[in-house]
Amino acid sequence: MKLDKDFFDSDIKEKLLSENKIPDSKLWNQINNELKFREKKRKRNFLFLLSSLIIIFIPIVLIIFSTLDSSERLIHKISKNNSAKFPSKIKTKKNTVNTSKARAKLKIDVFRNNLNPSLLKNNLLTNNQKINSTSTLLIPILDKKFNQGKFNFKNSSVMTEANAPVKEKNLAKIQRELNDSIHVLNFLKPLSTRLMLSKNISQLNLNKDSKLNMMKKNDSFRPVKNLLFLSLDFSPTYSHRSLSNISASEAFYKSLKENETGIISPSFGINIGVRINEKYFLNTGINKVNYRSTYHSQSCYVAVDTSSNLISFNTAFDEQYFSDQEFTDNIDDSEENEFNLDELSEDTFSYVNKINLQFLKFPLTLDYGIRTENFKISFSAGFSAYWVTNAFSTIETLGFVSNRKNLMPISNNWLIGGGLGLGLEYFMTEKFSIRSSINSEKSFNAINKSSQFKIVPYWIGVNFQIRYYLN
Amino acid sequence: MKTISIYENLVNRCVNRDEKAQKELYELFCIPMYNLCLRLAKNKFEAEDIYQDSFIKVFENLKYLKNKNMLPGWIKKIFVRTAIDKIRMNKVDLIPIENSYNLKTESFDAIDLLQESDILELINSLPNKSRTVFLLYVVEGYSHKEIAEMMNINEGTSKSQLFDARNSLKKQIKKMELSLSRLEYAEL
Repeated sequence: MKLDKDFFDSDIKEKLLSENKIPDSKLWNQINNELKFREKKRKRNFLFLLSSLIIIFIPIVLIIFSTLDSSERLIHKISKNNSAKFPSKIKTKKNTVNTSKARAKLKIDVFRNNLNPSLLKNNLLTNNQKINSTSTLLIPILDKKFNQGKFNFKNSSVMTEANAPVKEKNLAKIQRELNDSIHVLNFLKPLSTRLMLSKNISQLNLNKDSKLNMMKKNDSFRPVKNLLFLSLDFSPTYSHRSLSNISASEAFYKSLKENETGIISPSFGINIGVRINEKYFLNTGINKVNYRSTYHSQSCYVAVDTSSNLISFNTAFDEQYFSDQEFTDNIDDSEENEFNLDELSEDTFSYVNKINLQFLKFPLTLDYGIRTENFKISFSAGFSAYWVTNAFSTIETLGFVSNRKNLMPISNNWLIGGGLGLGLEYFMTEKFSIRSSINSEKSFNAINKSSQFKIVPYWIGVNFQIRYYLN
Repeated sequence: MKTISIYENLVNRCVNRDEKAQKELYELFCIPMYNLCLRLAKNKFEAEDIYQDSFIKVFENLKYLKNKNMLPGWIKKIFVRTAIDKIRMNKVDLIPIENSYNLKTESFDAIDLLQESDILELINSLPNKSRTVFLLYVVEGYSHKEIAEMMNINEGTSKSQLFDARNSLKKQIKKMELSLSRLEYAEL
């Protein structure tokens, strides 16, 4: 029997292996171009990654070194205070100050205890915290001096006409003494502390006829208790999206004249920011992001494969196959059907290709901000991971409309990208603020890496946020 | 021994991005691999897609090939795996077997008179899974164990898919034999 199992298998095998078809030479050109393109992209990505790392690491290094500043030198100098080298007397403009007394006044021991050397060594205190700690030392000293002048620094806020002359006299005395003390402190403290003391003095002068206890109310004189700082963000993002350049060396691609239009669509998310120090925040969260594009082109290649009864639509970025039945079902009856399956073997038509991708975005960005009283300008840089949740693509050409879900040739469900942003924040209260920013983000890898034409999404957009700060 | 050294040298040059070497390797394998793609894919477009993707994968992953002697088998496996992935991704399960029975009448004379394209057409009318198993087992010579591993299925499933495919093809060919004999009878 001819159809015996072994004969059958060997006959079929023999038949199928009997003819050898030779591949078209254009296939090698395409493979070669793709390899060259990938090599270029690899180099470009490496440079981009390197520069991104530099952008992120420079601020981190700056933070570390700014916390180091002269803290160790300060400790060293304080310890030196007990040695014989420290001058016993310092001449100021008006007085000769006995340094041992001045040191006692300034309660250097308290100061030393406040600034725990191990904390300083481990860089856990920022510059500002060191200044604040110094201020906590100064406040009782100032208090004491004001008390000496029969003026209750803690409780009295307004000077009356009756007690003003006495108080002014006392204030002048206090200021003199403080100036002397500062002179001593110059040996002990870094520039930032000296500036703080000068500020205290100038505020005493400015406010002698008003609220003297403002120093206590002013945040900058209070030690910061929370090293970390959280914020909740709500961010509807309006972005423009487009496709990145595909294989530029591809001759076919060059010949395409896509007319691409980005579509504005809202994105939403909840983000959280962790305070690293006064100027830096680390942000992360979850965001729903869309990517939508529309392409008009003259180059939709439509072909009918009679061997498998398949109609193939091949555009620059999408390839869809339909059986003849499916094809007929998708033809828009309201328009003239220009496809005649019997006559059509292969042809090129104009088409509109719409792409709609949906992502969940998980950002990790570092914000550097400079704050005035109510405003904050911030610059952000970081990375994001995008998870593709949905992908639609549509091909519309001459009476034929296809609408396919998850038929895009997506090979990567995860994309990694990087972005930069510049924002302005307005503080309505200490806890609430609104922020708008300009952002640009780009994926490092393509969504369809196995496809000849790569879709690498990038976003340029305006972002609005409402922030709530937790202290 | 000579073959080993040729492969080694060629692979090393390819790893170092030598374009000439890449072309040489391509030319060495392009015809068998192209025909493999044509057999495994359902149409020419899909075959060319698999062909290009697979060759790119080959060049991108050559540096990971330890035993250079295994190059032909390794390349073939990449092509087969890419084809399986592509077929699974496209999921275009076409026309049921009965409906696709539209072979050209001039090629009829049972299995010996069938042309390669007719046989491929018959095989293509099988459901995706059994079609792939049949081609990998009968034509490409893989064992059920290898097929199961590549397609991520059980060995038993592979065997039953092959059985189904074989039966289905036999039925079709028998039908053709029958119609051929009727045709001859009518001519007489």
